[in-house]
Amino acid sequence: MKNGKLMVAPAMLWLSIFFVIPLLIVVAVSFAGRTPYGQIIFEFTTDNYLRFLEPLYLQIFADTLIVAVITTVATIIMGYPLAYFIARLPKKWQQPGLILVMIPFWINFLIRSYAWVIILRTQGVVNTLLIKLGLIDQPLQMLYNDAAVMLGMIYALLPFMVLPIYVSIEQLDLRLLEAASDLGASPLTAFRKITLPLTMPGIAAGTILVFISSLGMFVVPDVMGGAKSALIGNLIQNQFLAARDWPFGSALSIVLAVMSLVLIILYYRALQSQEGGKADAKDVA
Amino acid sequence: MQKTWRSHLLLAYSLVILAFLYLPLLILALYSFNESRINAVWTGFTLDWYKTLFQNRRVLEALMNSLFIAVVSTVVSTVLGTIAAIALNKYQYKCKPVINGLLYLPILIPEIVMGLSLLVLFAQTQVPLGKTTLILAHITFCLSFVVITVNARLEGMRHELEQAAMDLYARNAVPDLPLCNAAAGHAGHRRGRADCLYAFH
Amino acid sequence: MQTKFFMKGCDNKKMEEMIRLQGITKKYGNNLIIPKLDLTIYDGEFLTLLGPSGCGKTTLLRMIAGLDTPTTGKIYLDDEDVTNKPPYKRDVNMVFQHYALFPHMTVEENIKFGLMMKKVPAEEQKERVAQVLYLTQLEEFRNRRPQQMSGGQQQRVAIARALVNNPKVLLLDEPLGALDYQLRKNLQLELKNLQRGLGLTFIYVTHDQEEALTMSDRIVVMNKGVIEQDDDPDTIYHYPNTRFVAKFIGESNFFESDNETLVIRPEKLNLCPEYEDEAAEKTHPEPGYYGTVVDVVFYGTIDKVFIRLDNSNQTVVAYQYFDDVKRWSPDERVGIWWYAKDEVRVTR
Repeated sequence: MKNGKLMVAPAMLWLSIFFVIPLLIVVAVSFAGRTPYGQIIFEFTTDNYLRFLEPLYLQIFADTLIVAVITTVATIIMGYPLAYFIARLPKKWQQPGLILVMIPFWINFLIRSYAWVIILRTQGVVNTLLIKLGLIDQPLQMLYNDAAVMLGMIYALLPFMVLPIYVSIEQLDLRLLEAASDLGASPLTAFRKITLPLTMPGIAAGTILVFISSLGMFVVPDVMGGAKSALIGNLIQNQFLAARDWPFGSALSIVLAVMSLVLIILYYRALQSQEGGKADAKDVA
Repeated sequence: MQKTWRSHLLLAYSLVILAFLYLPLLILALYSFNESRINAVWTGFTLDWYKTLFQNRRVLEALMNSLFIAVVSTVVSTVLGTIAAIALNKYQYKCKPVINGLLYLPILIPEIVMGLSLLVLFAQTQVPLGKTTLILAHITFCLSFVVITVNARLEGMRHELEQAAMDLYARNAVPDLPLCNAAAGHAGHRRGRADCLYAFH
Repeated sequence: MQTKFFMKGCDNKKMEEMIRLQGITKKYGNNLIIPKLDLTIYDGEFLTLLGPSGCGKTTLLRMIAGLDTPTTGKIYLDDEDVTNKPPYKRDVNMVFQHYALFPHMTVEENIKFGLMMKKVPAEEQKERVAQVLYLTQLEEFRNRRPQQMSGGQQQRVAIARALVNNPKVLLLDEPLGALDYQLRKNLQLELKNLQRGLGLTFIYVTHDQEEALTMSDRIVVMNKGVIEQDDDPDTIYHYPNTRFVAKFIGESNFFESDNETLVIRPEKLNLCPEYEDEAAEKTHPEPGYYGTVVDVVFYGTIDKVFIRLDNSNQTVVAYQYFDDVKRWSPDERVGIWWYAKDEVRVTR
C-alpha cells in the first residue's frame, strides 16, 4: 500500500518546483535592489515595500479593492438568480443551461473585452445607434473609465460566480422547502431561512473565485480602462514588462498575494462564526 | 397564481443576464463580417477579414501553437491531477495540511502572481521562454483545479456508494467525470492563458 | 388524558368530522392518478392510507398538506374549504418520509421553526419546545445537529417538529420506512400511544400492511387511486371486500368458481388425512378439496404447508399449529376443510 500512497507525489513535486520555489524566488527578489538598467542585485533592502506606501500606489491598491468588491457583489446579484433559474429547470434542460453559461467562459478575456470596445467606443454600436435615433449629437465617452472597467470585469467573471452557486442550489433537497412551507414559512421566508443559508458555500466559493480573479486582473483594465484606470494588476505587469523594475514588481506581487490570502481567511472566519456562533450561544443558554 | 408571476420574473431576469453574456459576443461575430474598418455602421457583408486571417502565416502558426499547448497541458495536468486525487481519496495522510496548502494556495493567489513568479524562475535559471515554458506554466495553473474537482467527485461517489440503493447516481457520476475534469482543465487553462500570453510576449 | 377509540359500527354522534375530501381527482399531464374519490376523516382518529407504491396514497396526503393541489374536487379542514390554500396557511403538519430536517439548525431550532413562523411569543415557544422535547425524549439532544443523530432519533425530531405546532391533523408519510425492523416495532407502539394520549387526528401513509393493522383505528386500502376498502383493521383482515385487499393484506387462498371467488386465510384451512375413521370424520365439516402436500416450511410457531389440489395445478397454503395436530410431510395425501363462517366471497 506504501506505493499507492506515493501516487500523490508527482503532483506535489510539480507544485513544489513550479509554484513554491518560484514564489520563494519572488519573495527573495522583492527584498533585492537593482541597477539602473534593470539588473537585479541581491542585497537586503526593504525599499521596495516602503515605496509601495507612496500615496500613488496606495490609491491604486484602494481602487483595486473597491473594483474587486463591487465586481463580486454585482456578480452575486446577477449570478444567483441565473444559477437558481438553471437549477430549477427540468433535469434535461439543466446541462444545456449550464453549457450556455460556460461557453463565454471558454473564450479568452481579451476577446471578450474587445467585444465591449466595439460596442462602447465612440464610433461603436451604442453611439452609432443613439446618433441615428437623434438622441445625441456628440458620441458619448463610455470607455476608459472605472465604470467601463467594472462592466468588463463583471462580464468576464460572471460565469465564475454562476457555476458554484448552481452546484449548491442543485444539491439542495427540495423536501426541505416543502417542510418549511408545511411549518408555516411563506416562499420568501423559506428562501431566506433555508435556501440562502444552505447555498452559502456556493456563494462563498464563487466569491473567492471572482474576488481573487478581479484583484489580479489586468487584461480588462488594459483594454477598457486606458491609462487612467490602472489597477494593481496593470501596475505589476508594468514593472516587469515596461519599467523593468522586477524587485518592485515582486514586492507588489507579494503584497497582493498576502492581501488576498488575509481577506479570504477573514471572509471564511466571518462565515464560520456566523454559523457556529448560533450553536455556541445555544450551548451556553 | 403568485407562484407563476414569481417564476416569470425569474425567467425574465435570467434571460436578461444571458443576453448580457451573449450580446457582445454576437455583435463581435457579426462585425467580423462588416466591410467597414473603423465604423460601427454596417457597410456590407465581407469575408475579407477571414481571408486576411488565414493568409497570415504568423496568425495561423500562433493558432496551431495555442492548440498544441492546450492539448499537451490538459492531458498532463489531468493525468497528474487525477492520480493525486485518487490517492488523496483512498489513503490517509499525516501531512494532509501540507498537501492541502500546496493544492489550495495556487487557487487562492491571484494568477498574475503565479505567472510572474514563473517568469522570474525561468529568467533566473536562464531557461529561454517558448512553447515548453508555456506548457509548464499551464500545467501548474490547471493542476490544483483538476485535483480538487476530481476529488470532490470521488468524495461524492463514495457517499453515494454508502447509500447503496442510489445506484442511479453512481451511473450519473461516471460520465460526468471526464466532463467536469475537462471543465476544471478549461478553467485553469483559461485563467492561465491570459497571463502567460501577456506576460511572456 | 383524553382517549378516543374508533370502532366500526359504533354510531357515535359526537364523532366530529375533521377532513372531508369531496370529488377529488388528480391528473399529471394525461395521467389520471386519482379518479373521483371521496373520504371523510374524523377528529381523533388514527387513519391509515395503505397501498402499494404508486397507488396515490402519498399524493392524497400531499393534497391534504397543500403540497399538491387536486385537479378537481374540494378539501375541507374543520369545515373550512382549504382546497386552494398554500401549505403555510394550513393548520396541518407533516412528518416527511426522509424526515426533511434542516441540516443547518440544531434539534431545538428545527422544532422551534414552526412556532417562529407563527410568531408565537418567545416565552410560550420555550415552554412548548420543552414539552415536546420531553414527550419525545429528546432533551439531551437539543443542541445536536440532525446529521449527528441516528435514524430513530431523527425520526423523533421530525415528529416533535410537527407536534409542537398543535396541528389539527398530523400527516405521516411512511415515517418509519427507513428504520430497521426492531426499531420500527418500538416506534410503532410509541407513536400509537402518543396519538391516543394526545387525542390527535393522525393520517398515516404506509405500504406495510402489518404496520397498518397494528396501529390504525381505520384503514383505507387504495389501489390505482381507487379506495378498495375503508374499514377497521379487524374487518379489513377478516372480511376483505375485493381480491386486491385479500391479496395485499396477509396471505390468502383463492378458490375460483363461476362468478365469484372464495377467499380463505391460510390459518383458517384445516387438514385431515384423506381416509379417516368415521368418528374423526364427524368432528369437522367435510373437506372441500383433496390434494398432495408438496412442501412444509417451518416458521417457528407454525408450519406452512403447501398443498397441490387434485384436478388442478393450484397450490394452496395452510398454517398448522402443531400442538394438537400431527405434523405433515411432503407427498402425504390430505383433505382440506374449513368452517363456513371463515369463508369470504368476493366478486372482483
